[in-house]
Amino acid sequence: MSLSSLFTISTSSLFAHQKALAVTASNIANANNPAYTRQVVMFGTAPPDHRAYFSFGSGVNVDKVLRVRNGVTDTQIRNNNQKFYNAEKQTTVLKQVESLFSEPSDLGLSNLITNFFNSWDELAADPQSSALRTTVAQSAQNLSEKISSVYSGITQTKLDLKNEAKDTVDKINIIVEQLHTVNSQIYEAHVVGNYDNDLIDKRDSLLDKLSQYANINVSIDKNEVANVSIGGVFAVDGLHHVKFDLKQKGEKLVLQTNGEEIKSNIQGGSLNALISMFNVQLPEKLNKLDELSSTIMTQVNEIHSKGYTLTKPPQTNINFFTDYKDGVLTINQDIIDDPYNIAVSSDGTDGNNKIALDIAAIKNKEILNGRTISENYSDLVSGVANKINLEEQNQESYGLVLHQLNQQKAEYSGVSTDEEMVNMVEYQKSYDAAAKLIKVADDLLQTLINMV
Amino acid sequence: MRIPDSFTRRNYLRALNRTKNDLAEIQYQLATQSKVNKPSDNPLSNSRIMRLQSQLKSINTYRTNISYGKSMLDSTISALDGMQSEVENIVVELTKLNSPVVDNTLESFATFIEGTIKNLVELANTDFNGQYNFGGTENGSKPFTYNETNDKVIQNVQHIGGDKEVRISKGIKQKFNISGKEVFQSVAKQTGNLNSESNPGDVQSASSKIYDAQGNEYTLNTIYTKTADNTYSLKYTIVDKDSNEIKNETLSDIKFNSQTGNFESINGDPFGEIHIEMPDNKIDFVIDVSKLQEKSSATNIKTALSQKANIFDVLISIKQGLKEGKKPTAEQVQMVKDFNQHLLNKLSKAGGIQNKLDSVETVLNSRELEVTQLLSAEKDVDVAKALVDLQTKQYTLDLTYKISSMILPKSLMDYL
Repeated sequence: MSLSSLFTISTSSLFAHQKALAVTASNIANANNPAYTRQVVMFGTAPPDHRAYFSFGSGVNVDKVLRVRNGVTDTQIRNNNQKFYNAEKQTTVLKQVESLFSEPSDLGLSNLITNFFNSWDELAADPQSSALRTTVAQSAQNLSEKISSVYSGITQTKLDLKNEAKDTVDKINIIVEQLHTVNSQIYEAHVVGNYDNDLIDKRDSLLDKLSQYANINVSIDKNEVANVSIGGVFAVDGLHHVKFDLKQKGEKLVLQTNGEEIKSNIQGGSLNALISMFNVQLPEKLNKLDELSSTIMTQVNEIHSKGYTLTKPPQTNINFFTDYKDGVLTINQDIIDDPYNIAVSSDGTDGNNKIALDIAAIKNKEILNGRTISENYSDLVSGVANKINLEEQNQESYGLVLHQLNQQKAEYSGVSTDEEMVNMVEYQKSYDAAAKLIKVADDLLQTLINMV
Repeated sequence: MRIPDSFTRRNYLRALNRTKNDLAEIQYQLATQSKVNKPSDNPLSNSRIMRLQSQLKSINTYRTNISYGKSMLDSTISALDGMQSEVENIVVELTKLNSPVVDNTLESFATFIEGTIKNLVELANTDFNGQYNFGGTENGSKPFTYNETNDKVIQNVQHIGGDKEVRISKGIKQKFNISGKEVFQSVAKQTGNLNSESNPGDVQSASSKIYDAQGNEYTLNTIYTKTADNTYSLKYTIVDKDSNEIKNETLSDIKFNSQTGNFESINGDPFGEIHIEMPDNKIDFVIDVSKLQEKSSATNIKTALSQKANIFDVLISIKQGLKEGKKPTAEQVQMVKDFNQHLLNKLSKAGGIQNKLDSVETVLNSRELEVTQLLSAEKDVDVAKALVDLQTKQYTLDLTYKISSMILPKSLMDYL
C-alpha cells in the first residue's frame, strides 16, 4: 500500500461527505415543502485494495441517495383523499341548497305554506273583507315567490355543479398530462441508471392531487413509471395517456374519453360528488319540490273551481293557480288584479265561506305520500340536513384518518431540522477529518522528500 | 419516533382550527340567541321547530277567528236581547187587552205594536262590520224592510238561513251566527231517507201541520216521486181545516249526491228551501229539504216546524185586528209568547256558542304557552351555559396561541 493511497482514501471521504452535506442542505431547504420526501445518503465502502495477505480499505463511496418513503401509507392517503374530498364537496353543495330553504325562520317555505292556508281560515271568518282577500292573494304570491326562489336556486346550483365538474375534469386532464410527462422523464432517467428523487416526488404529489378528484388505482412498475386508472378506466402510463371529457346527455352528466362514453366507476373524490349531486341528489330535491307545488296547485284549484267569486255577477269554475312549471307557481292574474275573484262561497251567496274553510283544511290533510304538505316539506328539508350531517361526519372521520396518515407520512418522510443539523455536524466533522488526513499524508510525504 | 418540523405544525394548526370553529359557533349562537340556525345544526330539532312555529301561527289564526266570532256574537246577542225586550213588552201589552177597560183604546195598542214592529225590523237589520247579522250568508244586503204602504215586512234577500262557520282549532269548526231563518221564519224541516233503490215512479209521502198568522191550522202534504237516478220531483199541497186544497205545486229536479246520498240541489239551487208565501191566507213558511238523504235504507219522512208562523205577519195581523177593533185571538197571543220563548232559546244558543269560543280560546292560550315553551326548549340558547362554553373556548384559544410561541419557531404575528 503506497502513501499516495492516503490521498485517494481522504479524497473519497471529502467527496462523499460533500455530497452528504449537499443532501442535508437540500433536506433543510425543503423542510417546509409538503411534496418533498427527505433523502438520506447511503455510504458504501470503496472496493478494498487486495494484497498478497492483506486487504486495505480504499475509502468511501456514496452508493445511493435514498428517498425515505412508505408506499403503503401513500396508498392509504390516496384512498382516504378520495373519500374525504367526496364528503367535503357534498357537504359544501348541500349547505348551499340548505341555505335556500331559509329554515327555520319566518322567511322559510314552511312558514309561508302555513301563512297561505291560515289566510284562508282568516278569510272564512269575513269572506267579504277586501283586506283579507288581498292577504290571501299576497300570501299566495309570497309562497309562489319562495318556491320559485328555492327552485331556481337549486337549478342554479346544478348549473354551477356542471361548470365545476367540467373544471375538475380539465384539472384531471392537466394532471394526467403532467403525469405522462413526468413518467417519461423518470423512465428516461431510470434506463440510464439515474434515480431522480425529485421527479418521483413530483409524480407522487400529482398522484395525491389526482386522488382528491376521483378514485384512482396506481401501480408503479420497475422503472418507477406510474400506471394510473381513474374509476377503472385507463388514464396514463409511461407511453400513453387519455383525455377525459364531460358531456351532458339529457339530465345526466357523463364522462367520456376520446369522444366515447365510458363505463367508468367514479365513486370517490370531488368529481364523483359533483356528478352524483347533479345527476341524482339535486334532481330528487327538485322532483319533491315539484310534487309539493303541484299538489298545492291541484288541491287548491279543485276546491276553488267549485266556488263562486264575490264579483257581480258571481263567477264559478275559476282556478286559483293557473299553472305550475319549472318552479313557477302562477297565480291567476285576475285574482291578483281583483281579489274579489277569489272564490270563497260554495253557493254564490256573499257570506258563504265553505270554499275558504275547505281550502284551509288542505293544510291538515294527508294528501301526499300519506302525509300533509308541511310534513312532506319537512321531510325534504330534513333529508338535506341529515345528509349534510352524514357527510360532515364522514368529512370529520376521513379527515382525522387523513391527518393521522399524513402524520405517519411526516414521521417517516418529513424533514427534521434537528436531525439534519446533527447530520450536518457529523458530515462536517468527517469532512474535517478527511482534510486533516490529507494534511497528515502531506506531512508524511514532505518528511520523505526532506530526507532526500 | 421521529418528530419532523411539519408534524407539530400540522397538529398545532388542526387544534387551532377546531378551537376557532367551536368558538365561532358559540358566538353565532349567542348572537342569534338560537342554537338551531340552520336545519343541519340539528335536523330533528329543526323539524320540530318548523312544526311548532306552524302550530303557533295556526293558534294565532284561530284566536283571530274566535275574536271576530265573539265580536259578531256580542252584536247578535245585543240585537236578540233588544228584540226579546220588545216582544216581552208586547206580551205585557197583550195581557192588558184581557181587561175590558181597554176596549176603547185598542187603536193605541195598535200604534204601540206598529212601533214595536219597526223596532224589531231595525234590530233584525243589525249589522256588524258591514254585514247583517241575521242575513245568513246573504248578509251583504239589508234582510228586512217594513213597507208601511202594504203593511208588510218584506224579506229583501232570498236566503237568510246560511250558517257561518270558522275554524277555531285544528279539528273544530264553529258556527258563530244566528241566522234570520232561525229567528224569524217558520221552517218545516224535513228529515229522513228517500229510497235510493226505488224505481222511477215510486213515491214517498209525508204530511204535517202548518199555521197561518192567525193561528189557523192547515195540512201540508209532500209527495216525492222518483224521476231518475238520484232525482225526484216534489208535489206539495196545503189543505185547510175544511179539506179545501188551497195550494198545489210540483217542483222537479231535486237531486241527491250519488256517492254520499246528501241533498244537492233543487233546480240547481243548493239551499234546499222552498219559500211559500200566500198573503191572502197570511201563510208564510219555508219547507226545508236540505237534510233529506237518499239511502238504500228508506225511512219515514218527518217534518218538524220551528215556529208556527212568521212573527212579523203575526204582529201585523194583531195590529190590523186591533185597528179594526178586534182583540187578538188566544192562538195569536200564544204565538207571540212562543216567539218570546224562541228568542230566549236563541239567546241561550248564542251564549252557548260564546261560552264555547271562550273555552276554546282559553285552551288555545294555554296551548300557545306550551308550544312557546317547547319551541324555546328546542331553539333558545342556554345563555349561561353558552357563556361558560365561550369562556372555556376563549381560554383554550389563548392557551393555543401561547403554546405557539413556545413550540413553533415563529408566532402567527410574524405572518400578519
